[in-house]
Amino acid sequence: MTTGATMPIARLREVSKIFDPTGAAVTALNRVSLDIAPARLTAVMGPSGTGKSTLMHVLAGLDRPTEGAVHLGEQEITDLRDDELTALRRRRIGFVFQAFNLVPTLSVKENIRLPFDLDDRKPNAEEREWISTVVARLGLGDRLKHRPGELSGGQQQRTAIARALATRPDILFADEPTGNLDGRSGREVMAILSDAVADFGQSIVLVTHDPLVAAHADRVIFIADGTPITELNETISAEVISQTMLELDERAEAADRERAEAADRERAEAADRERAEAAGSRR
Amino acid sequence: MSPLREIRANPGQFFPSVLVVFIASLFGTTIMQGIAILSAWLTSAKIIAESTNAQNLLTVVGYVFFLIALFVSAIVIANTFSIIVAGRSRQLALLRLIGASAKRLRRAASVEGLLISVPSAILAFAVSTALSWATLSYLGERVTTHVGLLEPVMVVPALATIVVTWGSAYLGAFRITRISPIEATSQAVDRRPEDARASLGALTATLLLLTMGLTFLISAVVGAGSQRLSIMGVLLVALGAVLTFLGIIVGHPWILPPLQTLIGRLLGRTAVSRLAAKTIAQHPTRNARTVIGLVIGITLIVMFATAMTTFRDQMVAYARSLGEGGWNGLEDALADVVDKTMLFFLGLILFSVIIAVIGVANALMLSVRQRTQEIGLLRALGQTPKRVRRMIAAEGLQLSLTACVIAVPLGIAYGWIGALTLLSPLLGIFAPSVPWWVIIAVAGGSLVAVLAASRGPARAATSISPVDALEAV
Repeated sequence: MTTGATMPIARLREVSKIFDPTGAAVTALNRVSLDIAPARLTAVMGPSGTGKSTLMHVLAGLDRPTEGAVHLGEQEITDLRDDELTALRRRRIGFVFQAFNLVPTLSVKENIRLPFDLDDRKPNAEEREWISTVVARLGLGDRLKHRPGELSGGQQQRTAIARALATRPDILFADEPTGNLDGRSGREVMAILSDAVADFGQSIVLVTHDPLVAAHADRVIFIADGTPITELNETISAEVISQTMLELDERAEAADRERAEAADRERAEAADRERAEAAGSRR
Repeated sequence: MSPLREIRANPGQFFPSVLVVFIASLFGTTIMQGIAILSAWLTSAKIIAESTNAQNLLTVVGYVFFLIALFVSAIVIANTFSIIVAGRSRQLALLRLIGASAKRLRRAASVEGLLISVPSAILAFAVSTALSWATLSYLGERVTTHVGLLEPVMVVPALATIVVTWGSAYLGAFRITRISPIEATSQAVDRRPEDARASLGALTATLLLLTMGLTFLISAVVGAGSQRLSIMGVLLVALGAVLTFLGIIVGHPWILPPLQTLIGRLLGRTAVSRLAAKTIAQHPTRNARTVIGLVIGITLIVMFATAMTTFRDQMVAYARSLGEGGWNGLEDALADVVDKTMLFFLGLILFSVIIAVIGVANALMLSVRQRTQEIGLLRALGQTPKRVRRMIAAEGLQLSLTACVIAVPLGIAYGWIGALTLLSPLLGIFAPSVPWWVIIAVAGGSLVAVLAASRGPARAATSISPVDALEAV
């Protein structure tokens, strides 16, 4: 058994996710095996429609894999019942989404405390202190009574991060957290997430297609066609990430071209055959 | 943009309106045809030689109850359309941006109302006629005079319902005129709390109506103390009741929301009930309109029940006080007749309550549809499906509780003052006989009905997959 420090916080083993298996059968994840290290910011990158969101949903217990096993800490979550998964999301996982993160009818403070409310309990003294620390750190102290509609986009995302951190989850999932923000607010949000990893030892999985955002990560995993293709662990910068993305794109385009050419060839051959057969039958 | 295409694309959102139109026109047509059959039967049986008077009286009573049902339907349909329009505001803003006038969009929306009401009303007419025809053939030889089931006048309720639906859809689509084309360009999801208060004129009218109505009612009670029966007293009560009630209907955007907040607070501080209460507070106008339909129905039921129970008890007490030579047991027969008449009236008002409950179910359903993302978020954050269902039920519960809290005291007051004015010359001032079983039945019944009505919307809410809901952003 490995020690706590190197023990992954989340593991995927041979995980596949196939949507609509009886019909069109779209493979979103193809036998993915992956370890997520604790107290790290792990970024998952890839062009849209390559399965990075599905990867996050499966990891976070929002969606079930078609095959394979998902572990959170030492617990396998693949076989959990829906209400157990729900409780798990409530207690051990934090979420920050691209948009619509907050309940519009609740104030900032109520939104931050929502995970406790959903768990039917009030935060204890220690947790309250933690929440105040987070709120102060994220600069939300004078916004607690406001409704989400009265906040800027950046403030809304900071509120969502505060809510996600409030329960000190095992792992925090951020799905394009800066997608709706301008450059400055986006950098601010990423700085907060990096600080949460550095100062609080929070484990974070970040899904994004933006190299500038992914550059904040400790590790960048690239996904294409439902499989992790390559990853960066050191020398992470926006340039390197962009370069890797470009190479992946080129490779994908080349593959597409090849496939298209092969299809053309086949069509041409088929047409030839048909013509030949037609000629044969006429004779 | 084309009304027909809109109906075909989203038939589900119109279903409650179709149902309401069907029930209202079925109710109206059945009353008319029923009365025709009844008077033909009475004439044939020679129970009354000249049935015109009885028939006229019955027709008037029938029309009054049909109008009440129609009024409640109008409120429910207008509410439905305003919610539909609210849900479509992004698309409408885009059309405004491209250059469609608000007037034109509003007319298109009201045509949707017309289009859905016509087939529904025709079907209701057909069903009612079939029922009446079946009744006639069951009565067979006992009815010798001709009954005109298909006379032009029989179409009046169905026609009236169609016209009312058309108008209500137009009124409900009022919101379109407030949609600014700029809304289409903004990134933000429309989350402004709706502007609850109508014009200042409506507030003035409310205060005026309430003051006048209360003055009339109080002077009627004071007048009753002087033990004189006067036509003036009866008129005062009728006018006072109508005016205060109109005041409450016109002023509901001011009266109901604070009450809803209070009841929401009383229902508890759990996350479930608080979210429900906050959601209701977010749409004060929509929910006030939903509640007012229930208020009308429940008030009328409690009023009739109180007035007639009080009347019965007082008459029986009076007869007994006269001793042996008094009414010779006639009071028991009277009590029996009063009870039966009361049940008949309550049955008629029940239709309005049913329509109002459909309104509640509809409001809940649309509330769920428009909160897909919010519910998806809650599910992602760890809200169990059971809690989501409970949240929707708590919303419905809060709406119907608000209706009961207003309607029950109001109904008791109207009924009591009415009985007081009629009987005080004989008996002086007396306390009302509160018909507890009717109140418990109607309050409990509407709570249960609303809980049942919340099941569909609750199921819709739990079927929302958090993944899909959040991807729809």
